[in-house]
Amino acid sequence: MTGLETGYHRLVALYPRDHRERHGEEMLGVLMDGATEHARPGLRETVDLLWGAARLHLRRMVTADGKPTRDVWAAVALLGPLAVLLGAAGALNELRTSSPASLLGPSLSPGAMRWQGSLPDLPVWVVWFVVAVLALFRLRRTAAVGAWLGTVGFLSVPFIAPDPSMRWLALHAGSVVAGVVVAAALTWSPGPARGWELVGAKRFTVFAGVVAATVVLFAIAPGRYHDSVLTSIGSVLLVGVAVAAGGAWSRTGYRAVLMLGLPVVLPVVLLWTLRIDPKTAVLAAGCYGLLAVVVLAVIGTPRARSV
Amino acid sequence: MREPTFLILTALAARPQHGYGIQRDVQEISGGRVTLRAGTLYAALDRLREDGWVDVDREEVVDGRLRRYYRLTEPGATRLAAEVERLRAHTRAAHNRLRARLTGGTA
Repeated sequence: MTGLETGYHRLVALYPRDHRERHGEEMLGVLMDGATEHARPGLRETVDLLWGAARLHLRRMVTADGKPTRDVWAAVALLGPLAVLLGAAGALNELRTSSPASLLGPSLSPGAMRWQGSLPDLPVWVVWFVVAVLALFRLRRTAAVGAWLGTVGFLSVPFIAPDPSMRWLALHAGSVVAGVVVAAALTWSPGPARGWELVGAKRFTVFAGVVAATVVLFAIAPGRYHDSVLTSIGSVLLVGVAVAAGGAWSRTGYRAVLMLGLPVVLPVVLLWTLRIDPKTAVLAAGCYGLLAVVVLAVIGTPRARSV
Repeated sequence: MREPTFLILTALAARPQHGYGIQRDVQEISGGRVTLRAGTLYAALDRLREDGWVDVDREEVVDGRLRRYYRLTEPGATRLAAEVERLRAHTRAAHNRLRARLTGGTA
């Protein structure tokens, strides 16, 4: 085997298993047929193959049975912004216990206001609320722009606080992951208009009601929201109800709600599993790593299908 | 419909072709402007097969290498025809407006 063929083998090995089994040999043939005098795969060819592999992995990540996934993404585009807003409960809890005047007062840190320390994520949740309203009115493109802004906002929260810390990103891993998923759904799916056709007014109302009830439960809980066992369990149960109510109508709906429910619920469960308040890096690795593993495991990679 | 999809469906409109054949045909159809690389081609074929617009026609082994031929299905042909009609309408409108512009018909 030549160096060129070995290089192509390595790149094709990055494709999903079922695709490799079905098309691997065929792709190598096409690559070798089109190969010129190079000893190794060219840069453009390498980037193209890597991008192709990433696209197919992403496509399979939300496909359990090999059927078109656009409807799943359309449902996510409609319901997703609401699921992301579950993460706002902590900020609302903080807001409830603080007076507006005190939040707008100066912080101990020079040049900063108090809300920047206690509620650095508040502006981002406002953006996501606007995104949810835009999605409800089926304004896909505007909502997509808002969702990407909201996602960038999530990543900026640690830098809004007077004393930057990555801990917020670790604690809100679910919201950040869900934010990226929703932004992608709003950008590349048929959008919330198609999602509305699939979900319908009744199911949307049930889902929105359950999310609102969860947020309110968190917000009115005594003490800080993640210190309350009762509200955490309540949240998981309520999101479970939302999954049942929102996802029972079809396999598409079930997968759509599952895609959003897991990122939102798992960090809450994880925080209670790791009661010992671990270091941020461990927490972040746990939240993001476990999320990725569980989401991939639940949604699954299809095995090879005969041609 | 994105350009690679349109060009792949066009390449398969007249006869079934294998992957490398589609690549060469797309280059010819586009006058050398579009080079469809293997990653893009197979990501597109994967989606087109899921959508039922393209299917496998037959397989051959040439010089020890597997060649799989793809063909355009009826739904694929219908979708391509609809896209051609849409593009034709746009082209006609653009042509008419350019002609009106040249003859001073519009400001």
